[in-house]
Amino acid sequence: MKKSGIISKAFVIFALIYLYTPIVVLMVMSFNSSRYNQMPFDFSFKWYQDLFQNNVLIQAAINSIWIAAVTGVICVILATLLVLGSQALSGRLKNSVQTFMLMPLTIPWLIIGLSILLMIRALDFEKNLFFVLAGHTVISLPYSVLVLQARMQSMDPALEEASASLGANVMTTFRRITLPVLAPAMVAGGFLSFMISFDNFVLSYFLMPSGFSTLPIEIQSSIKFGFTPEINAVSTIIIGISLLCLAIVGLIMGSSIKSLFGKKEV
Amino acid sequence: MKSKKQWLTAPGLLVLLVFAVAPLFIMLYYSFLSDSGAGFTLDNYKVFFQKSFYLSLTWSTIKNSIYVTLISLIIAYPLAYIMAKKLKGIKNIILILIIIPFFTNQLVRVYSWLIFLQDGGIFDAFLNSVSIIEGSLSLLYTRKAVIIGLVHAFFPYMVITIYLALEKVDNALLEASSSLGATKLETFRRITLPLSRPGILSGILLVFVPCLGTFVEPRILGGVNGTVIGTVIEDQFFEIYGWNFGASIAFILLAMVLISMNVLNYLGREK
Amino acid sequence: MATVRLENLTKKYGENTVLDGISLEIPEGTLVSLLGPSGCGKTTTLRLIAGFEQADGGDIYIDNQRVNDIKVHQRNIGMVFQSYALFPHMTVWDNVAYGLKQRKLSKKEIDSRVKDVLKLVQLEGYEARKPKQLSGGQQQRVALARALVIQPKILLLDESLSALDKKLRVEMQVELRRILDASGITALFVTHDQEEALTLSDYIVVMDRGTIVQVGKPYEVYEAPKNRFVASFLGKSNFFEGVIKEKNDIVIILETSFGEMPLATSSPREVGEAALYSIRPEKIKLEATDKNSAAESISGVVKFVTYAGNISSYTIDCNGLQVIAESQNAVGEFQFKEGDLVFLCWEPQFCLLMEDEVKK
Repeated sequence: MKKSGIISKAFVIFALIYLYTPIVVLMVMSFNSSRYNQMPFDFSFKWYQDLFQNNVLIQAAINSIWIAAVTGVICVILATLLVLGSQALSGRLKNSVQTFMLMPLTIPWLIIGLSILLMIRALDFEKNLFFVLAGHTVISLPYSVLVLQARMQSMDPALEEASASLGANVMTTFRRITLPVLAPAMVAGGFLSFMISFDNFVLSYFLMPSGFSTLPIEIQSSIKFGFTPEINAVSTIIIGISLLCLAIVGLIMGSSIKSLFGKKEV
Repeated sequence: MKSKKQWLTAPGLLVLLVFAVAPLFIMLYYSFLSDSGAGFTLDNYKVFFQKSFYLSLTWSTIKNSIYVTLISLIIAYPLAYIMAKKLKGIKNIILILIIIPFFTNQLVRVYSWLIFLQDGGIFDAFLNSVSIIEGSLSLLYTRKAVIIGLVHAFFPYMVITIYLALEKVDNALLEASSSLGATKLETFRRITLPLSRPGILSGILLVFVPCLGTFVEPRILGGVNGTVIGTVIEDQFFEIYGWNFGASIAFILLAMVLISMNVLNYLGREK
Repeated sequence: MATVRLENLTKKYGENTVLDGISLEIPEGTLVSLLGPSGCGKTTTLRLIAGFEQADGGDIYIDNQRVNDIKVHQRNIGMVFQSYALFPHMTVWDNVAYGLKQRKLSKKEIDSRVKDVLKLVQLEGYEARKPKQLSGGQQQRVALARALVIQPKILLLDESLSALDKKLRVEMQVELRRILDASGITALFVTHDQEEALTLSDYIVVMDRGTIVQVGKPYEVYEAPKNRFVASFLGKSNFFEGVIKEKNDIVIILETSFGEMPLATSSPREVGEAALYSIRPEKIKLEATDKNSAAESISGVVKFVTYAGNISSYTIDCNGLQVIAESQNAVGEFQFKEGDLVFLCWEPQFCLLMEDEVKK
C-alpha cells in the first residue's frame, strides 16, 4: 500500500515535470543574459529592457490585444444570441443547430485558415483585417458558446416563469433576470474567446495582410529567421496574460470549467 | 413569442455559414481546378494517390498520430487513475496544474521545447552534468522531437477525459467486486477499465484527430525530418504556390479527420 | 382573495391528453390541494391557471373573469415554485420587492410592504442575504413572501415543500397554514404527499390520469373514498370483491372467491349484482374470541405482525384472503402473535361500497 503510494506520487511528479519543464525553462531563460539560451546562467533584465525598445514587438502586442478584444466581444454577442435563440428551437432542429454551433471545433485550424484564404482569392479581395477578425471569430466562437450553454442549462427555467408571475413582461424578464444570470458566463466566455484569439497563430498566419503582425507571428518568424532573445521575454509575458485570463474565467465559472472539454487545437 | 425568439440564432449561424461552411466549398471547388487553367480536372487527386511520396506521407502522418495517441494514453491513464482513485485533497490542484498549460500559447510551447532540446541546450547540459551522456543527444529536428512536442501539447486532454470517466466510477463498485472475490487486477480489468472506456475513446478523439492536422510542431521541432501532410499543405500555399493541389490535399486531410471522428464516435456508441 | 373556476379544461401534448376536461370550483379564502400520482395532471392544472401553458379546451375563470387569454404577467397570481426559483443574483429584499417594482409602486409603499411580509414569514434581518446563503426552509419562506407580497388574487404552490427533509417539512406545513390563515388568501397546492394534503388543506382534489376523481374535505375523502383508486392512494385499504348473495336489513353476504363474506352494511346493489367493498385497516377490531355472535365477524389466522411504535399492523389470512388490520399499542391492549386465531369485526358504517364497476 505504502509502496504503491510512493510510486503514484512519483508518477504524478514526473508528469508535471514533463508538462512544466519547457515552460519554466523558457521563463527562466528570459532572465538569462546569454543570447543563445546557453549556460551558465547569468541573471539579467536585459531582454525585458530590449523588449520595451523593440517597436515591432510592441506594435505586434498591441495588434494581438485589440484583435483578441474585438473577437471576444463579437463572440460573446453571437454566442449569447445563439444560445438564447436555440432554446426556442425544439427536437431535431435544436440538435442540429447546437452541433453546427460547435462545428469549428472539429475542423483543423489549418483547413479553416486555408479555406478562408481561398475564399479571399476567389472573391478577388486583398487580405485584410476584416477576414482576420472573421477567421478568429469562427474559431473562438465555440468556446463562448460552450460556456454560455453550460450556464443556460444550469439555469432554472422557473426563474423566468417566476418573474412573469410577479408581473414582469418579456422584455423586463430578459433584462432583469435572464441577462444578469447569464452575465458571469458572458464575461467568462468572452475572456476564453479573447484568449483563444490572442494565442492563435494559425489563422493569423494565413490571413494577416503583409506589414501587419501579431505576437505569435513574431515568435514564429523569430524562430524561422534566427533567435531574437526578446522572444523569451515576450513569451513569458504572454504566459502571464493567458494565466491571468484563465484565473478570471476560473473565478467566474468555478468548477464548471471542466465542461469545456470539447476544446482542441491544431 | 417562441417563434420570434429562434431568429436570434440567425447572426451566429450566418457568420458560421459565410466564414466556415462557404470557404470549405470554395476550397472543394479549387481542388478540382487545373493549374494550367484547363477547367475542372481530377488530376490533383490523381497525383496524390499515384505518387508514392504522398502515400508514404499520409502513412507517416497517421503513424505520428498513432504514436502520440499511444504515448499519451500510457502517460494519461495512470495519471488519471491516480488522481481519481488515490489522491484526495490535492487532486483539484493537480487537475488545475494539468489544465493550465492548455492555455499557454501554442508557439510559446513549441518554442520552449526548441530551446530546451537544442544542441548544447538545457536538456543536454542536464544529462551531461549527471554524466548520462557526453556531448549532445541531437534530439532536435528529429521525429522524436516532434512526438515529444505533440504529446506535451495533447496528453492533458486525455488525462481530463479519462479522469472525468474514472471519477464517475463509484468506489462501492470496486468494493463490491473485491467482496465477490475478484483480485485487484481482475477488478481493474473487469470493472474499472470497461467503465472508463468512454473517457478513453473521447481522449483518443481529442488527441488523434487534431494531431492529423498539425503543422507547427512538425515544422519547428522536426525540421526536414518532420514532414507531414500539414507541412506539405503549408508549403503548397506559401512556398510552391500550388494552391489547387494544396486545396485537394487539404480536402484529403479533412476527409481523414472526419473518417477518424466518425469511427471513434461509432466505437463510443456501441456500448 | 378570489374564487377560481375551471370549466371543462383540456390540455394535450401531441397525442397525449394530460387533462381530460376537468371542472372545479375553488371557494374564496380556502386552501385546496391537488393530490395524485405523478402524471395525473395536477401540475399541468396549476400551470394552466398561472398561464405558463395554454389550454387546448375549456375555460379558466378568476373572480368570474375569463383569464385564458390574459398573459402571465397580467394575471396577478402568486406562485411558489418547486425549486423556489429565487433570483440568484438578487438579495432577499430585492427578490421580494421584484413584483412590487413591476407594479410601479412608490419606494415608501414597497419598503413598508416588503418589511411587513418579511415579518410575516419571520425573516427579518435576512434582507441583505443572497438566496445561496439561506437554508432550504428560509429559501422556501422567501419564495412564499415574494409571492404573497404582490397581494395576488390566488396563490399557487407547486410541490413547494417536497425539497425539504421530513422534520422541516412538517414544521413548514404548520407555518404555511399560519401564514395563509393570516393573509386569508385563496390557495391551490399541488402535492403527491397524502399526509401533507390531509393536514394542510380545506379541500382535497384527488386526480388520476387527467381527471378529477373525488373532491371533498380531508376527512370526507379519507373516510368515504369513492373508489378503489382513492381508497388505496389515500391511506391503506382492504378490498372485498364478489357477488351479493343475500341481503337483509342488517347483513349482506358477499360471495367471494375466498368464500362467503358477511358484511354488516346496507347496500344500493341488489342480490346477484357484483360489488367491491373496502375497509380501512384501523377500522377492523381484532378479538381473541368470537364475542359478537352476529354474522359480520369473520375469523382468520395472524400471518405477520409488523411493529411500528405507536401501532401494530397485522396481516391476517382469512380463507386465503389477506386482510390488514391495525391497532393502537395503547396500555393494556391485547397483542396477538403470528399463528393466533383471531376474529375480525367492524362497525357497519366503515365497510364502504366502491363505485368501481366490477365484473361478475
